[in-house]
Amino acid sequence: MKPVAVIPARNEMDTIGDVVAEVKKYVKDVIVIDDGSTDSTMITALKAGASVVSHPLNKGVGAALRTGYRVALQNKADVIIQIDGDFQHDPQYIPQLLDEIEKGYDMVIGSRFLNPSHKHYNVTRRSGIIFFSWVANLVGSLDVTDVTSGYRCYRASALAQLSLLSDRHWALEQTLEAARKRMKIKEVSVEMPVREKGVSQFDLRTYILYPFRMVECVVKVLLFR
Amino acid sequence: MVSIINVAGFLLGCYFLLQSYLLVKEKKEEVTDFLAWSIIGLSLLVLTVVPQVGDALASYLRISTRANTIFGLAIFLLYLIIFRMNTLNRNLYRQISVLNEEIALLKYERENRK
Repeated sequence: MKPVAVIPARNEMDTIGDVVAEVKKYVKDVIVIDDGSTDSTMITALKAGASVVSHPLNKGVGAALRTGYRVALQNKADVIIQIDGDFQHDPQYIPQLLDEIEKGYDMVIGSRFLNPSHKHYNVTRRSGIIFFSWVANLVGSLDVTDVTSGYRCYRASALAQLSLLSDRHWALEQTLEAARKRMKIKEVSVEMPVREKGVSQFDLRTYILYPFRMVECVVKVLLFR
Repeated sequence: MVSIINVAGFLLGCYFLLQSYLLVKEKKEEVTDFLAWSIIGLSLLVLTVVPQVGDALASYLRISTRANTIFGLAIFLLYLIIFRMNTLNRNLYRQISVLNEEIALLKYERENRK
């Protein structure tokens, strides 16, 4: 089973080198998708030993993951591990994610809500994740606690059956589609601290628009996928 | 007695006709757009120069005044234009995303071949 790690990153020069180095302890092939960084993320990732695909424009996490999946599948990956470049996702859990894929699951999600680490997030963020997870469980007949988690592992053959991701706010859409296609989804407990370095994608505008984007995701999956 | 709004409508009609012609000549606009804006410009000219046309239209559409008729039709037309522009905009956004990905992958493949 050939695993490939895909790391979407934007302006993560402070952490990407360490993330790549840690991931390389578990996965030989590491691909960093630099989504229009304005700092030295690309060079730092290259020096750490990753293959780097660099977007000329910043188009969002979904766009970066789309590119990453494409490169991983071209490299004949059997399993794709998706991990953030800001060190919120500890690479030490990679073997656990891979174990679940070997047991037969198609998608494994690392959940911060299966351990106390979620309590360090602010109330707004936690409430948002709980609500979106509830919607995903209701619409997709699932039992997930952290539908927005970007720490995931996929069987490549299953991932190839899913539609291309939206540029932004991809997680709920992808999870719902996987549920509708009756893929086997499992969650594992992953400690995810609040990011210490860099700038988060979550600002006031994101929080305000989140409910509307959630409605868009649900309608898209129910009517068009 | 010519009102200010008649003058404004006349000038706007002339502007649409002239400007869209110049833009096509400078290859900054398509002929289709020129035809569309010319029709709008000519309609405005006719409505301002021959107010009886506006009255007849108002009567036919059973709208109380000529001004309401013109504004009503203009708003309807704006809805159509906004809808079309929104669709075009979304499509362009999607195409930029695709190009962004393709350029990134071409650069990556070129670097790997070195």
